[in-house]
Amino acid sequence: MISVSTLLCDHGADGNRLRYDIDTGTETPVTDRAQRRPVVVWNTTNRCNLKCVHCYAGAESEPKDGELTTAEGKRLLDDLADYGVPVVLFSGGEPMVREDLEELVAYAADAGIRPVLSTNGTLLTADRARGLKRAGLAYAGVSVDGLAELNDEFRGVDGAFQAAVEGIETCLDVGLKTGLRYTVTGQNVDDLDGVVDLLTDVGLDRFCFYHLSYSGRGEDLSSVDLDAAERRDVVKRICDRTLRSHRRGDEIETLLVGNYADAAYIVEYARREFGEDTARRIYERLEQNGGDPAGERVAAVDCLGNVHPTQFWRTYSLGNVRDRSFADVWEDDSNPLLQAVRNRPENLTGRCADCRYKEICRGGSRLRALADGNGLFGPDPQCYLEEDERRGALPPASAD
Amino acid sequence: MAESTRRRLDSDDRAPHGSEFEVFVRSDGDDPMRHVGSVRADDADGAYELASRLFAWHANDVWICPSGDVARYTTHELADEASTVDRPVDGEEPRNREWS
Ligand code: SF4
Repeated sequence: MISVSTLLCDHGADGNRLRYDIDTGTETPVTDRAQRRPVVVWNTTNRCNLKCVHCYAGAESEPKDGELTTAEGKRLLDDLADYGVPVVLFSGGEPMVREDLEELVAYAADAGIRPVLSTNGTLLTADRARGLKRAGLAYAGVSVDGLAELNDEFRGVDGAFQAAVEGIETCLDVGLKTGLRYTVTGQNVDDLDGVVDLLTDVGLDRFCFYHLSYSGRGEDLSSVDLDAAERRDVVKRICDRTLRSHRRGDEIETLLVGNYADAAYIVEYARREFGEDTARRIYERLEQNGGDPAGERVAAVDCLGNVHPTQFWRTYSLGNVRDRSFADVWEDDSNPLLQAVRNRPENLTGRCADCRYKEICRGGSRLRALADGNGLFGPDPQCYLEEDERRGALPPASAD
Repeated sequence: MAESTRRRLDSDDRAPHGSEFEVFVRSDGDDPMRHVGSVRADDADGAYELASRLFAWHANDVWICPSGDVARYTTHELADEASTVDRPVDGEEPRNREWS
């Protein structure tokens, strides 16, 4: 997760080293230590009340047999707390269809984990929003992927847009911190500004933009993904918009998720806008961030207990929490793939191998590289960096 | 000792979609086979293809086995690992504590 507003506008600048890689609703980390344990996405159920075409989890209308029970979920949360996991993102499917969600959120909070939620927002009634806030929920990220017509087409249900906007308003009304999650594709890129404008008007000030991940039903969508020029253009628009709003005095937070070529782009953007010193400072911050987090700073546990290197990497599981503890799975040094992914910069091939930004990007998404047939350490097809940017003679920052 | 508390885990498939296949690899002929997780695919051929994309750089031998066909006996039980956490009495105190 890359905070455009922090990097370009010093918004919430704090010098801390913990950087979450999922949207946890905070740019003010809970500690000044580097993030040692992964943020865990728990896909609590496969069930969803919507039918989004790009759903990375491939959710369905019914839960799966064998989903982790309330008791098992609590033991999992104990296990994660003992291991020092700082944040659990309750996700799905749609996590709000689980009637024990508030109970699990409260349990996580009591165990010392920051509980956050990823939801389609359509079930966020005032009662549930208040209940979640009481339970200790720290943040709700609500997905909207276009203006009404397009969003409802994506989500497969009429009225989903209106319900999500009302869900956001409800969160704001009950004082539950909330933000937008917007997955940018070739189909909805033109709606982006309209959605941000509309939600700004209802009082939202946090906007999180996701690049499309090629997993779940999203696997079939690579053909509608943005091309390099379009991606570059939309990231530029997001940077421009963030700067404009801060210059006007609006403290909005904007974040980019799921493509660490953004890190390289933002350094280049800063160099053009502010000059070499600022670009260098931003590079140093991004060095602390550490690049694509798969298998390191982000983990996922699916509804059946399988542990994945990220929430999007559904086709490979490192182990299952019903067999052994999360910590044992995550710390298993005998897994050659996990070791290699954690040593990525030395294993990258193709254009990433000699990219000057590989330390702050780490080659982007291994999952997209695999999906595109480039091999485990090949280039991420979503990289949009231009050749002269990639091949600069020297790293622009502390590495020299 | 552990033997007496070991129990059998579910034998159902573990994939929310498709089927799950356990993956075992060996990098050299004199190494033991090593379990390296599982892959999700529609069938064994798809599972092998995926497993080899993930592990071909490392392994000479790649074996796969349908996850639901593995009989697992373990002393680990998720539901047994509870450490009790005190519940707040009135639900009013702040629940988030600093992680350190
Ligand atoms: S070439 Fe590779 S390492 Fe460099 S920015 Fe692109 S994806 Fe990242």
